[in-house]
Amino acid sequence: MQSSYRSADRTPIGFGCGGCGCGVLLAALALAVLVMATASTSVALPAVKSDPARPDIVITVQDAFIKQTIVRSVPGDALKDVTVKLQAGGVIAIQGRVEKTLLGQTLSAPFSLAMRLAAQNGRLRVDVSEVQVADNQAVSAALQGIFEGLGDQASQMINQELAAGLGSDAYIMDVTTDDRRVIVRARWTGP
Amino acid sequence: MNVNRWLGLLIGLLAGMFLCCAGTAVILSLGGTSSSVPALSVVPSNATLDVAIDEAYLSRTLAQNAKGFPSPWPVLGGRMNIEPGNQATFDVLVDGLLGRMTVAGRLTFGVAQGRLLIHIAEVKLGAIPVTGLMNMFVPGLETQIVEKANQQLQERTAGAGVTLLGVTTDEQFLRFYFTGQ
Repeated sequence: MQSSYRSADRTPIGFGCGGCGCGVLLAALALAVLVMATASTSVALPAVKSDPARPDIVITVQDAFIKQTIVRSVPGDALKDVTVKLQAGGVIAIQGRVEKTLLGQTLSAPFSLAMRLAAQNGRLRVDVSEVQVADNQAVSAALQGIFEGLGDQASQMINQELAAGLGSDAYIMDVTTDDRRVIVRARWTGP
Repeated sequence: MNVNRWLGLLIGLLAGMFLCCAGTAVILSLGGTSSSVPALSVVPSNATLDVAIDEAYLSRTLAQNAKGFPSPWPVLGGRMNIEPGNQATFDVLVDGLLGRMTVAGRLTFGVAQGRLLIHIAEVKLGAIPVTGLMNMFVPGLETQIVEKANQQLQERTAGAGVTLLGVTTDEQFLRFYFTGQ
């Protein structure tokens, strides 16, 4: 009699435990359905369209950085008091003083030159023109050598840095200037 | 049938469902964030060089390099959407436990001591937020992403001799600000 009473007494607890198990399963199933319904994708993510007229990267270089790069690109700390003036059409006008020690004597003279930046076949091209060093012909002849090949050196250095930074498949689209900045627009042509 | 049995079953059912939901909620909220949230950076006044990267390129890169992307599940593809406020949202297609699923989330960007910081602010599996869960089960994912991004940044800027000062975003571009060393 006592045993039958205990059994009847335990039955609701057994049903409760069973219900609890069912509840856990139901809730887990509902959560899985919720995840599947909202996260499973029968439609793949749309492919990213590549617009060849639009740059992937825009590099804006301030005149202060250009000045720093020019001073750094001439070995021997030869350029002093450099000022940089940016002009329309990718032109950079540079003025300053050039110093060189020859046979123990330091020659110093003012200089001015113009650099033109342009995009050519996907690369940045630097042309140096209008190089003027000193008024004195002898001093000018002695110091002119510092600027020889500067355009090619600058082109090579800038393109090497661009290739290191952007990768070899970077294509320079165009170069523009305003009074404070040089703006280079490029895109990647890789797969 | 005894009413007590039905009542027991009902109470058990409700308790089970509550337990499951509460347990899931606790697991989802556990784990917290693994690193501090990067402070919102503004355009640094002493920046002399800035590099703006288009979101379309970032999406292409994500799609092309999906296989090598650090993730608990294999990434099959994805896209990024740059948004103002130093943040970007992403959707990636992963080969997860329940089949192919879309994981969406939000990243925030910052710079500290010349290093780029990327914080995984939010990750959602469908409608379920799983940021805490991800931090608990994949600890160090954020650190891994930050290290990889900084390594690439270091490799790409080493020749130019520049230091990273800040990062900002607008509707389309992720902008990095540098100064010459």
